[in-house]
Amino acid sequence: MKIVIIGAGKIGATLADQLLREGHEITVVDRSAEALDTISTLDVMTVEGNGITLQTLREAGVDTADLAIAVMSTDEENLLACLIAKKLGVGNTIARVRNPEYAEGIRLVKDDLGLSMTLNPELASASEIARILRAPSAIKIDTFSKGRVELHKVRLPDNSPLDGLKLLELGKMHSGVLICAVERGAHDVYIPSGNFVLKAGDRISFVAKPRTAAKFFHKIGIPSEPVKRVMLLGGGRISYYLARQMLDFGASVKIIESSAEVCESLSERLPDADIIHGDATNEHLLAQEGIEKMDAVASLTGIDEENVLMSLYARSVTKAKIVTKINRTTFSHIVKSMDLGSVFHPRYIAADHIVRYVRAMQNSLGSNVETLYKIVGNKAEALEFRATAKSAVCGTPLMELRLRPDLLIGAINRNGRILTPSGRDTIEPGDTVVVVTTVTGLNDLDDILEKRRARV
Amino acid sequence: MNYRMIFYLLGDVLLLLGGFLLLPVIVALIYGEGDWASLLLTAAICAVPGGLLLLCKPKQRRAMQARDGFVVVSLSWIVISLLGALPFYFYGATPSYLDAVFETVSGFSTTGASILHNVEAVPHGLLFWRSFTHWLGGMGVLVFMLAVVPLSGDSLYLLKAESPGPSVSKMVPKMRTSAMILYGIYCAMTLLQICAYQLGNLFGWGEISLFDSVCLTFGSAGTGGFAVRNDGLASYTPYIQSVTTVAMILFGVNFSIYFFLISRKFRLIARNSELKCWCSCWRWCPCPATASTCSRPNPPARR
Repeated sequence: MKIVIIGAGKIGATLADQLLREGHEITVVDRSAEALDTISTLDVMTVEGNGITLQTLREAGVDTADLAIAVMSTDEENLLACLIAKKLGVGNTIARVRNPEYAEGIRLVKDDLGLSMTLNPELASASEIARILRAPSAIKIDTFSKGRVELHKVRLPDNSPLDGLKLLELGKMHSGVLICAVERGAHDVYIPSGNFVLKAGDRISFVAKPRTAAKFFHKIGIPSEPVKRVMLLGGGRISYYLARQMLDFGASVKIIESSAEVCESLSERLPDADIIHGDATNEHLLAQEGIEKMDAVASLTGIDEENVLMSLYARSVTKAKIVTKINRTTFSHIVKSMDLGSVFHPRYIAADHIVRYVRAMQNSLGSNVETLYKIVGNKAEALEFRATAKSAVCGTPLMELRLRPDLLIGAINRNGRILTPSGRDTIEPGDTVVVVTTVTGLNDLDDILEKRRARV
Repeated sequence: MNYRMIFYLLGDVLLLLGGFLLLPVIVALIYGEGDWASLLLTAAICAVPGGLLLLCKPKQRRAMQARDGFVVVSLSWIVISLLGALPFYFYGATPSYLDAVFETVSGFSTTGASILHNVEAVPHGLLFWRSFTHWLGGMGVLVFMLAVVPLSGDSLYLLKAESPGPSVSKMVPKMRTSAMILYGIYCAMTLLQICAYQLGNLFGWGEISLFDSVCLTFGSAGTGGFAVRNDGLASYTPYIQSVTTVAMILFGVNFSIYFFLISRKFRLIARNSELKCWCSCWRWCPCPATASTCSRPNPPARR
């Protein structure tokens, strides 16, 4: 696909790199020649100029591109650039809009503006962190149907009751989860059938509702107490969003922030959280505020070095789940070698969101894919399809459908109600269906059927 | 330094050179002047080590640095010049190997200086190769390699090292597509010029053999200037000379302009200062030259 990225900042550069690896044709527009110089090692075309002017956008070939992504510094510029790009004839537009105050207004006019998607990197990061804090034992969590269905990946511990269990027997436990992919050893990936026997050490991916997942973790002997007490070090945008989500989840939140002004504004916007004005790098303050008793500690200041130090300190005094935000993407092997808990790179998270959208967009050219994740190390895909009245699979009980062998239906979402499918369930028009498969290139719900042999 | 990568890419270049040498071999076989053996031998000399160097396929591809790019580009220009000189030496067309190297360097760098006194005594196969080096050097062997050999993203360093100036200007996002477009335009214009010469035959504006027209086209496409007659262009008719002149001007234009022309981005052409400068040069210079050419009587037909 032809993609124009307007703005060569942190996220713009990361996006260019990642989308390039997916084989797209990338053009990057930026006002500053120096910013463009930093991406000169990538095989992309660069256009120097103001990304809001008609001339520059034309020069970048927006009129023939499939997607324009505006990631300049201000929300207004991004929206305007997308608006002009849309008028010039680009297929889809994505704008980065940070200011939460705009969110509602933009939702109102999104269709009029022709925006395909808006992205708030801080909100996306906060949501991802919150997901991990709600189920701290999962390695990775992906969501479908606007968060109503989750795909968890966990490693079965050695003493798990699931060790040596057939999946058929698991079904009898009425756990409400569906194991849809199993990784064993370094290379093997299975889409398991009922006779599949689990082993300790398997990395299983399963589909479940968020609440069911927590119960399941408990049942299979993985400690998964959702965190109740959270301490956030640093009071930036991510902290704000994360605090709001954790408060909604019923956890108690304590934020330590060094700027009095920010503290006041936070306490106004988050009346249920404890806002502490103080230096989070002060050991005594952290001890005083009870860092030892926390279930989770997240280092979210704007300075990577401080985050690393605070996380290392927190690790040494508590058994809490540690979350560390790192802005820099360099020295990644050093970061990996330190015990910093779950490390988050906001710009990767933002870029991932867009890459995921682009994949789904590419997959959905003429098809009805809603969401797409590459799971288990890109060896399998989890896709969400929308069933239309024309779909051949509608109305027939699943057990009577001739499905492809390497494929599994993980969940059916009917008007927000999630069904864990059994053989007697049917797919109805309007449902969205989560499918896990090792086959790539499924474009339509009907592709889940085994191809009928051509009849002579 | 990533030696495996450098050797691997050099192997690619050598194989490519061997392939290119097969073209003059065909020409030599058509004319049957006995120079085919020297050309074929050189092709073999290129192909064998080239194939062996391909065994150096690097294990991980994302390890090429900017300086590796510079080394590959400079080494490959040296190597193709040294090897490209071998046919002249083997056949004995030049007094010594050093002279042959001079001739080839002049060809690949599209300089056009020659040490040959009597060009017409050189067999056709070698003459074709001599002009062909101009054509290859005009767009660059490495650009051709970028267009045909699927390489990883690191090959951007090759293009950077190959192109003059600090920044690489690309016409489309993908470097490989850019290289393909460049060679596409180059080939199309080459064909056009050959056809223009042949029109002279058709309408009686001046006789020129297919061999001469191809070689002259190579010379002007690469903006080099090797001719195939001792007196250069002097013995051709004004029509042939005019075609050559126009072609030389057109091939001197930055090829991005032609791409903009094809993709109908006329505004970008109008803003291009390089083109403006080039045009203003030619607005005045050709007048006296054309006048002197046209006022001269046709030279006697040669046979």
